[in-house]
Amino acid sequence: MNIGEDVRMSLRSIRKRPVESLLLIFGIALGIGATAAGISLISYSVKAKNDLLSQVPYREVVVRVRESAEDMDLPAAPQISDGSAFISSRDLVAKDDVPDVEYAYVADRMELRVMTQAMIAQFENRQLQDGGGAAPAGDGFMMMGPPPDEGAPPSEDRSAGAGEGAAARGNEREGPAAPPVGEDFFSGILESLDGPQPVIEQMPGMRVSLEYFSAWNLNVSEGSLFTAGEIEQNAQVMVLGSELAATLFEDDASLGREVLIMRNLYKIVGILETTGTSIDGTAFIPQQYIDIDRIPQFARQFIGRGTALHFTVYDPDRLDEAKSQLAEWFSQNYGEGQVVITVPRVEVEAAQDRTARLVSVILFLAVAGLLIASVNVSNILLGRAMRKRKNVGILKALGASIKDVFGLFFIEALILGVSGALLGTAISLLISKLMLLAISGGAVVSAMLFLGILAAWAITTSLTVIPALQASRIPAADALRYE
Amino acid sequence: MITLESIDKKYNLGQMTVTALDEVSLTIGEGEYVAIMGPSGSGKSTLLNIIGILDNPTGGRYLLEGHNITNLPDKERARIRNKHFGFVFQSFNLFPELSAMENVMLPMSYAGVSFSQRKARAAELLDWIGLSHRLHHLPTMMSGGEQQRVAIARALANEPDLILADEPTGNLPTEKGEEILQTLEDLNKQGVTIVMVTHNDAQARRAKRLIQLQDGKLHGEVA
Repeated sequence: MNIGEDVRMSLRSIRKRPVESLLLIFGIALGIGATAAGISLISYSVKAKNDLLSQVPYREVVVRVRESAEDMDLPAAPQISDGSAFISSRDLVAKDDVPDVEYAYVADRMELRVMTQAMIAQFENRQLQDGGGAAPAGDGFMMMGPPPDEGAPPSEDRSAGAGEGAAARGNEREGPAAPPVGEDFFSGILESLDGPQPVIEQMPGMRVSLEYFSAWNLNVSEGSLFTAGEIEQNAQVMVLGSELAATLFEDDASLGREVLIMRNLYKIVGILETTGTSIDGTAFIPQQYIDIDRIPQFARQFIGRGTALHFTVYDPDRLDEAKSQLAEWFSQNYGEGQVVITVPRVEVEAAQDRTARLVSVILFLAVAGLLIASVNVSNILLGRAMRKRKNVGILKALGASIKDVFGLFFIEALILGVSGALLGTAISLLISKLMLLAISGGAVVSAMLFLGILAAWAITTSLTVIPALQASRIPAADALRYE
Repeated sequence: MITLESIDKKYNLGQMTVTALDEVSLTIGEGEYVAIMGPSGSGKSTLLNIIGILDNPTGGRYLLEGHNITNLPDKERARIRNKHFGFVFQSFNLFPELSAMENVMLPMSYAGVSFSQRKARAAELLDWIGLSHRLHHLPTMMSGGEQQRVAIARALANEPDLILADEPTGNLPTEKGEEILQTLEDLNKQGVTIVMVTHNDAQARRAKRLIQLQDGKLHGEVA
């Protein structure tokens, strides 16, 4: 018999038992849907883990001074009075003694608040009316300067400051009238303004040392990065993330302009290439170079507090070794237990392993569900075949071989299986999308999802073979006796 | 045409062995009209199934046209059933989801006949048997007599040499049963060999040869 006739007979047989057929289709669909979605979740979990661990923070050893009571092996007082627990960017030289370290840098986070041009203009008018000079903000406040002169190369002659307008503004703000600092000053500006209070935007900032950009593989799309000389000279330069550079000034032109931070004008010397991360919205200024010998012993602890030294390692498998070597270096230089050395990767890996175990259990349940569904489907199909066993006898009497009978029953099972699998595929995509939306806020249809669907199809199809095989092997004489 | 030599059929039921056929030897010539009679459990249907190679004997030899077909592979047995034998059952055994025409076309599809030829042949047979107005009716829409006539048309689809009928009138009223018998006799007159199992003495006597079975053994023969 040709396949067309097998299909026609099968469809009629399916139509004859609509409820049973629908149950079979839904059983297969749910089994496939759950399994494929489970595999997709595993795939996403593995990908997310790999993506996360490939990032710079998880290829680093981080060194900090002991700051909290939990960190301290000794009471706080002796620790502070000792003063030896001070670390600074100067300690990045530890890198030279640890061969696996690729880059060493300092990156301290800070929040910068931005005032609009309107606010500054309004404030300046008030200052002029009051006869006082303009006052810059304290640490954390940022004012935007006017655009540089047309045609002035922004990266040239950094030590000489920015364009004329900007330089003048900088000089003016660094004048003899010492400005107030901190929140009080900022509040003073706000109070001095007429009309509705302006919105003050905050933006993330970072003080970074030279190798930060190399470690994070950040390059400029315009201008240039800091140079070693600029850091040593505490030059007032700034590099902006691409998104921030595009939005900071109304005319989108940031390069070469100046912003006011901590009573100093910082010149924007570089714009980073877009990374698609939070870096795009961050402003970077150089880590201050500190000559430790010029800082009194009692003050060192306050300067060093909060500073974290980051040592990126070529090979993540060498992190533990690098950690040991760094511990030895800091012990030799500061004494035993003065710093806390951590490897963030270890903690993340432990958390990821816990998640992986959970996801594996989910997958196991999904696969078990598919197997149970498939076995049930197989049983129902077998029951169906057994009910039609007399047909096997008739078909054989009419000249059908075992192969012909198998084909007929298999096609019927296949039609049910494929219908269920197609529905299951739709369910898989839907569940997968919902899961990924819940997890990451974005839908990702991975190749693993389709692999999962294929695997589920294979399991289901192979289980539909069994009833067809059993039906085809019923002896004709026995089948004909069946009523 | 058919020669059975010392055919045995035994069933092993655990500790017990049941003998359905015991040393049955039989020859059926071409164009014969043979009736097989016997009480229930005498082995009539088993013998018919073995003749129709739907069942395997546990002993003896089966020769068809002089060829030993006792232990042929499934595919070859299926081909012989399809090309040389036609089956008519007591309960008609039509496929309920197929129309009269599709039921008749079915054996031809296993013979590799093209769709158009199958359709034409099925229509011709159903017309011959008086059911040209029922071509597209499902079996459930037909009377028992009509269903059995469709079954006969199906048995004739591949122009078999031998029709094996297992109590073909058993589920029919007398009048309809008579029509079926008449059809079988007409076929026999056309040269088709008929082997019919029946309980009905009167019907059996209409055959040219009557074989009686009892307890799996040939008990007598009336020619």
